[in-house]
Amino acid sequence: MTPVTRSNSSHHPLKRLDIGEKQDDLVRRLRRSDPSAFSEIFDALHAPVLRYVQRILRDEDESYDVLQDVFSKLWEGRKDLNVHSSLKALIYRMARNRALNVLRKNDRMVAQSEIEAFPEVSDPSPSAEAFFSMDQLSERISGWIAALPPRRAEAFVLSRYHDLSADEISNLMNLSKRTVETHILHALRDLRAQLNKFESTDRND
Amino acid sequence: MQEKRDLENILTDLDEAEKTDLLHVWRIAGSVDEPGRVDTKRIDSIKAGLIAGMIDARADKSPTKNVRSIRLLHAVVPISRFSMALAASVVLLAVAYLTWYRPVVVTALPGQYASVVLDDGTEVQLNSGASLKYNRGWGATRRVRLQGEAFFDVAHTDEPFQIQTFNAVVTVYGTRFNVRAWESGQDPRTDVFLERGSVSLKSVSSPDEPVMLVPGDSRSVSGTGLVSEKSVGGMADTDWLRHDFEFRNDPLSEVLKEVERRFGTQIRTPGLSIEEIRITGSIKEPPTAESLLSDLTGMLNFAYRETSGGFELYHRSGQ
Repeated sequence: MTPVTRSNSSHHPLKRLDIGEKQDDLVRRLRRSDPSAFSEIFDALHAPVLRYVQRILRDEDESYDVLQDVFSKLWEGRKDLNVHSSLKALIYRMARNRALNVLRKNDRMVAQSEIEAFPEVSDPSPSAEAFFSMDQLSERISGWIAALPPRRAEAFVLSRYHDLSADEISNLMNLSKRTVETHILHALRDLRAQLNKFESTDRND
Repeated sequence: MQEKRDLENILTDLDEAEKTDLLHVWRIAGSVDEPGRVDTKRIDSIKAGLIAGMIDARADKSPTKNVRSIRLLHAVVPISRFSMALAASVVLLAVAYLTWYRPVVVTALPGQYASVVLDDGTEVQLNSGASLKYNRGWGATRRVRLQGEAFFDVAHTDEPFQIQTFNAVVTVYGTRFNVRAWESGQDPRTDVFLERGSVSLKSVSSPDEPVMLVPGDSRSVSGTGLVSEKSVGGMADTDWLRHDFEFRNDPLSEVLKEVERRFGTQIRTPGLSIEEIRITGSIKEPPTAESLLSDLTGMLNFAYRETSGGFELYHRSGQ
């Protein structure tokens, strides 16, 4: 398995192409087998979905396979498309299910436990660095998120970086909306604690 | 934006200081780059492949091409001379009614599989030991009754298609999915796995609204009649279509029953108390009961031996 690598550019927030408002229109066109609708959906969502799957699988090759599978199934089932929450959430759900399936297939004996959603990023030991740069902070934050308990991290990541609503996340992760909100709140608190620690050790006044 | 509202909801009960703090954290977190590379060449080729596939009318991938042998075994088919019987009198009409609406039962015997195409073009594949009952000549709703496990490829028509199990109703809107409903055993339940399309699942004994599934979902109706949001224990997956053998947190007793059905054999466990044991695993296309048992007992602390009726499991001694 090839490990997931970090991309080169640092602060370059995930490009978010919103399909929110146009969703009804896209779904309608998709049901009528309009390839351009499919194209728009693919363009908007392939990157975030791929990254989400990569988090779960930690394998680049398999992630692309899952991505292909998901969109292929989306097209195959276009006539029966019955969107209850949002098209985006549905696609994420399909991706999650498939990725979990791949995980299970690869391990013959897999404990019925949660996904290890996030690769461990070793927390670089605090060195005597005088400056507080965004690059460093970004890296640290990634590490802190990775260190969160899996479900908490997943809920937070889906909310912060994938623009999914609490409703959509609750649907996706099979949790109540309340639980999702609690996860996000705790994640924020954990991050704040880490941030405070980081800022105080950094200031070697 | 919905996300802003979500964030407000989450922070709503906090005091101002904490709220400001956490908003600040939220904002800073936005600077993080999502790990993972997107290889644009690969994406382009995937996209091109998907679009090319749209031109091909038969874009379907059906599991049948992976299944090596499916034989229709045992079907009671009424004499379909109803059209002639309709001609004359009331008596004849009554006879015609009975013939036309006579229930058909298709069964897959233990150790084998069966498949059947229904009147509307729906294809059903039955796993060992399962049986499907329906009436020829649909009424307002296409309805079948399933005991056991089957995979459905439902033809798209305007009428809903319904599958009744011992404790649940699956309503279908033109799609592919797996239903698993064994009534006997330690953990009787109906499991549904949706591959494509849309189905709803409802418990027979509960007044709750049906639950809708999306592709990839697994849902269960347990013995107590609850539709669980996440699948309980084993999920209905489609490995059996490829003749693989899969179990997820299933009681050992159930797994052994499935082995019995799959190979038409008998497995006894005299003196062993296995009620508490649950296992998870997947075995590719086990060719014989023996090879499967060899794998299974290897995972546990048991050994097996052949008997006149089949097999027997016993404790490995000295461990």
